[in-house]
Amino acid sequence: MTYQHALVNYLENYRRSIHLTMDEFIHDITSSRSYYRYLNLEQHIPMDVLLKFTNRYQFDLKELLDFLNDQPNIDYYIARIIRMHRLHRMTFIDSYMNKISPYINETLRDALTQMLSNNNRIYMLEKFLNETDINSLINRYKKGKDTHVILEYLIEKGYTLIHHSDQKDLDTITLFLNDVRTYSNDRYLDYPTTLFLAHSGKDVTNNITQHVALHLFFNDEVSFKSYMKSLNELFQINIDSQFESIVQKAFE
Amino acid sequence: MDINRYVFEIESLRIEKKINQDVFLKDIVSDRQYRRYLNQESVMTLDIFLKLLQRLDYDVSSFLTYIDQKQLEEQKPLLDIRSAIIDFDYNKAKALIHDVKKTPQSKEIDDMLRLYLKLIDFYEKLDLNKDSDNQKVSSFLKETNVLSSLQETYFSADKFSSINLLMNKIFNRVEPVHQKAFLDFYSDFIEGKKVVLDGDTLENIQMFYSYFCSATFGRSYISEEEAEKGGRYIKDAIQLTRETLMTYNLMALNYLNSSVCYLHKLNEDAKKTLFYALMSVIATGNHQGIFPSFKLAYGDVVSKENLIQDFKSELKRHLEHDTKYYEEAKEFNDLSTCAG
Repeated sequence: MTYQHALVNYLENYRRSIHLTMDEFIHDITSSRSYYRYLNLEQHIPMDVLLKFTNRYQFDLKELLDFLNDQPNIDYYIARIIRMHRLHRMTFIDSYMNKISPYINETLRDALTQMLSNNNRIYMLEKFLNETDINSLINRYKKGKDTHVILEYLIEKGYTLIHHSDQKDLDTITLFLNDVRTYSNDRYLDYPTTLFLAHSGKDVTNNITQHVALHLFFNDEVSFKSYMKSLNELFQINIDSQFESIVQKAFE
Repeated sequence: MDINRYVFEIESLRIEKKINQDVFLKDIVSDRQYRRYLNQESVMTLDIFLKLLQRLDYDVSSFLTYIDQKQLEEQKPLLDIRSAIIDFDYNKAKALIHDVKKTPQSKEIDDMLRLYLKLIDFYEKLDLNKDSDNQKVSSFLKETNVLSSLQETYFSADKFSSINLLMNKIFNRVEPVHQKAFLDFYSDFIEGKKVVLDGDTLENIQMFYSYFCSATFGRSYISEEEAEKGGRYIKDAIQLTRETLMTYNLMALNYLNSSVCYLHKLNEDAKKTLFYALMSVIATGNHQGIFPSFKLAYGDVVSKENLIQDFKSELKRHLEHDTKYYEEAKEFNDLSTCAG
């Protein structure tokens, strides 16, 4: 009952912090007798009782159980390392590595270290996911598995496909990322997705304009000036005049 | 979330993975008891729940993420409405609310949709009649009990974000004493006196800072001390986005920074932050929806001719030099210098 031990401790601390008596706290959720039995680890807490607590006091069950779990979310931190590496924001990587190091196996640790020296993120991601088929990975994502890392893999993969002649895989990735970003708070996803959409020929001017605006904030390596120049040439559009005309129209 | 949904999903995953039921339940729970869970005659314990998940090769986090993914389909219309309201795209929001209302909804959702419609109506008629605006704001405060909920200590991410949405829309119209209550509310999070229980910790911190800055500079009067603290936090909050990558916050922070700089004639910094604020609006992909409110807000501190001119000259500077956002942001003037 290790989990339950942490859980009841959490509930009790919370109850004290909001100054409720035990009877008030468990009212309409469970009986005092049962609650004492959960506290004393004499009885397993039923899931419906746990869910009544989470509903009443508005805890998110996933976050609550994650919080009680000593182990950090490896999927999340690996994905952050990949993302920060892509963005050249190296200062954050060390702290993420320290967080997960005690919980990952040697192979994974070596793969991460290797990635930091050779910059081969795709290789590292394939090693972690042990799979490269795009549709299977999307399916795995929908099953709730390794969701953060899969997103980063698809982004990396998308970058390798933008100059590829076969657009089928890029289209699949783009469609998927576009759907995910629409219902996500993760605004970084807009950055690669708008580029992939433009490469897939969808609403090129709008997507490239948005993409270049995002570049200002999401890329510390290639300056706005050189990036804009290269995309102007590649897509044969004049992005700077687009910016001027958007602002002119909006404020005139 | 209903426990029956968990049981149903566990059983579906077992079938999908073609795991024999005896093998699946062995040493965890009897067949008979498991059937009782499925028939809703009994409820599994946390312990059994975790063991069954493990047998399906799931942990709690991935299992609940899986359920979230499935639920997302059902929640999409509501999320679309929320996004449209945040993006000031009220026509779209109204059309979406109209669609959702065609099918019966829970009381909770009905109440939320009603509040959204009122907020839209408030915004669309803003400034037409000051008395009516004030009445509507009072009614929002009363109906949502937002002021008393500011006194609580623990918040779910959902509740925190509902307060932020409301604060964003009505802050300029609430009385100074209530504005101060919002300001203290955000300050308490920064100082660790209040806690958001779930959501992304990093993003939560970013929001505490950003909303604190918005609440500071959105007030009709701020003291020198408050301006200094706000100015310091704006720069801190911008640097935080290096890790959180939250572009909407950058938009708000740069907007605040540039308006205050224009107001205090710090024109060089005003130009720089104006450029970043407008570029972050374009970065949202919804500049048509957001710019009208920016036009209104900037109208108080800079003429449209100067604004367009400043944007163009900054764009030119960025096209001529290798600029870096976070380095430039570090160099912004400390707003405390202009507080007087």
